[in-house]
This record gives sequence, structure tokens and C-alpha cells, in this order.
Amino acid sequence: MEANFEILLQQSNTIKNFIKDKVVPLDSAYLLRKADEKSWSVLEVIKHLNLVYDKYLVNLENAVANAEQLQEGGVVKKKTTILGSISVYSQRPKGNKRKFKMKTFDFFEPEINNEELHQTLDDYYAKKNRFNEILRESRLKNLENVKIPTALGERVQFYFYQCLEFLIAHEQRHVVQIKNILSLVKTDSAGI
Amino acid sequence: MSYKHIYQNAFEPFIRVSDAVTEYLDNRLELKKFNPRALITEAGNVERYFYIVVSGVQAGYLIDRDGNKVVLAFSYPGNFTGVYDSLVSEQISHFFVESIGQSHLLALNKADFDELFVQFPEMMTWRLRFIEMILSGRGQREVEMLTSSASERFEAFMKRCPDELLQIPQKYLASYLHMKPETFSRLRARKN
Repeated sequence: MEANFEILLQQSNTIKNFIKDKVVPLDSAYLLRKADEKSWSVLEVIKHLNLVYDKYLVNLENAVANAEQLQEGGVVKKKTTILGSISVYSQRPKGNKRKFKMKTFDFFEPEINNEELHQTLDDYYAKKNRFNEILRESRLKNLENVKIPTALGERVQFYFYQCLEFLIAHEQRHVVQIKNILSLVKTDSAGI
Repeated sequence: MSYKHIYQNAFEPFIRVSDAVTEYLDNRLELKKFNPRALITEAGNVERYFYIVVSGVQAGYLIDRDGNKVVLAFSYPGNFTGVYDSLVSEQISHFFVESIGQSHLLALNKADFDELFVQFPEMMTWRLRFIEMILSGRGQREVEMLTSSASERFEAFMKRCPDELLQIPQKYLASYLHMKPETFSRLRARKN
């Protein structure tokens, strides 16, 4: 029995619990501090994840709402493209290393001020819960042929399943980044 | 509505439930309904409830490295269900629990579950026997998996299998018995 959506749900829950257990309890100084001028703080990473979710969540929710229910005993099938597979592969970290350095789009650049700390974390949970609900509902829907526009626009699209896979791999990549930032700002804690 | 007879039947093979315990459970157990294929517990999350099955069949499974569901256990009316190790350790669950058809479960939250043994130390006898039963069941299953052929596993399962389980899709039963659905189907046809 294939368990495509369950795997993604397990990974998504693991990320959510990492943020809840390892990030949220930290002193705000750690969340706002950057290892250097060019890099992001932990809070900026989370704000970036929120911006990415903003780009995809509504389209994913609409797709789920409009999809037909799978027939009893029906099996969820996933369609993939080479471009989608490369995108997922390039995002997914290898152990605790990000495979490639990459520059984000300008519209995904996080701009943040110190007062936004709690709002940014609350927003993240709200979006994460919406994303997990999409995963739960997708298990029971026929979404095999549905396509979702990427951040590059309507002309470049992911198949539904691969879009979810991409978003999880992207988030896993940023979890590694958060771990790296914390290891740097916690050892070099002068000024905190 | 009291579900006294349900949980008394569940506990009483192990221990006689006193009136005080009955009152405690009556005041704290909450009836939850799950639709077909709903996830009762998700891997990657911590189990929050201890459940007693009122109706329906549930499957406990994990996802193997190839992305397939591997069913490890079933529960049905009169059984306890949920992910016990995650509940008591408050660590993330590696297992999913899925409602195969519609299920009604009596749920006791973690705080009330813990308090039960503080207020009623005699219930520790139940807990000890419950853990012994789980250990013994896991041991028996490992022996069967490692020493028996597919047809021997099928025969042993059919001898102890309650009627409720014979109604569920056979792919779940095949996974539990560690065989392909085609093999299960062939063995079942031969038996009939």
C-alpha cells in the first residue's frame, strides 16, 4: 500500500514540532540575531517560509476543494515531471547540509522588524496547519492530473503531489539553515 | 449517555473497575467520531489521547523506506487503541492510526490518563497487565513473522481473527501478515 501523502504529513509534522520545541522557546535575541550582515536571522527564515506558503496555499486549497472524492478503495497516484523532480532534489537537504546555495526571488525576501516576532510565529503555525489540512484531505481526493502554478508564474507548473513534495523539501532545507544559524549565534553569543 | 459497559468490558479482563474509577472515567472520557480513512494519530506528532474502541476497526501502521504502509496492529470494539509509547513518553510517534471505516472512540486525554493512576493506584495493576499483553503479542508476532511461511501465518491469523477484521479491505490484512494482497486473496480463496 503506497503512502505518498502520509509520508509528507509525517515530514510536515516533524518540521512543525521542531519549530515548536526547538525554536519557539528560545530567547527572542537568538531569533533576531544574524550570523553576519548578509545572512538571515531565524525569524527571517520563518517569515520567508510564510511568504512561500502565501504563494501556494490558496491554489492548493482550491484544487482540493474542487477535486473529486476518491472511490472506496481507490489508490492515490502521483504524477511527476523531470523539472519537478529536479526542483525537489535541489531543495531537499542531504543530512544536515543544503546541497546548493541559491538566491531567493525578491518577492520571497523577508523584511522584518523586531515587533513582528510573535506575529510571524503565529502566522507560521496558521499556515502550517492549513498546509497539513491540505495533506490530510488530499489523501482522499483524485488530484492526479491537477497542476499548480510555481512561483515562476502560470507557465511553469508542478503536478499537485510534486508541489507538496517541493514545499516540504524547501522547508526541510530551511530547517537545516535554522539549525546552522542557531549553532552560530549560540556559540558567538556576545551582545545577547 | 454513559459508556460504562464499554470501558468496563475493556478493563475487566485485567482488573475489576471500582465504582470510584467508573465515576472518574464517566466524567472524563470524551466520545470522538472518525470518518472512514481519517487519521486518528499522525506520525510526527505526539499522541494526546488514550482510546477505548466503541465501534469500527482501526489500523496502526508505519511507512517503510520504500514509502509503503506496513500494518502492525488492528483494534476493534472493546480494545484499547492509539500509540501508547508516544502517549506515555511524550515523544513523537512513528506510527499512524487510521480509522478504516467509521469509528467511535472514547478518548481520555494525557493529563486525565496520568491522574487516573495517581488517584487510583490499584489501576497500576491494569497498566502492568496491559503492557505485559502488548509485549507478549509483539513477541508472538515476531516469532510468526520470522519462522512461519505465508500460508502458516494466514492459517494462524484466521484462527484468532475476530469477525470484525474479516470485513475490512484485504490489503490491510495482507500488509499485516507481510504478504502481497494477491497471495492473501489466493490463500483466502483456497480456504473458502
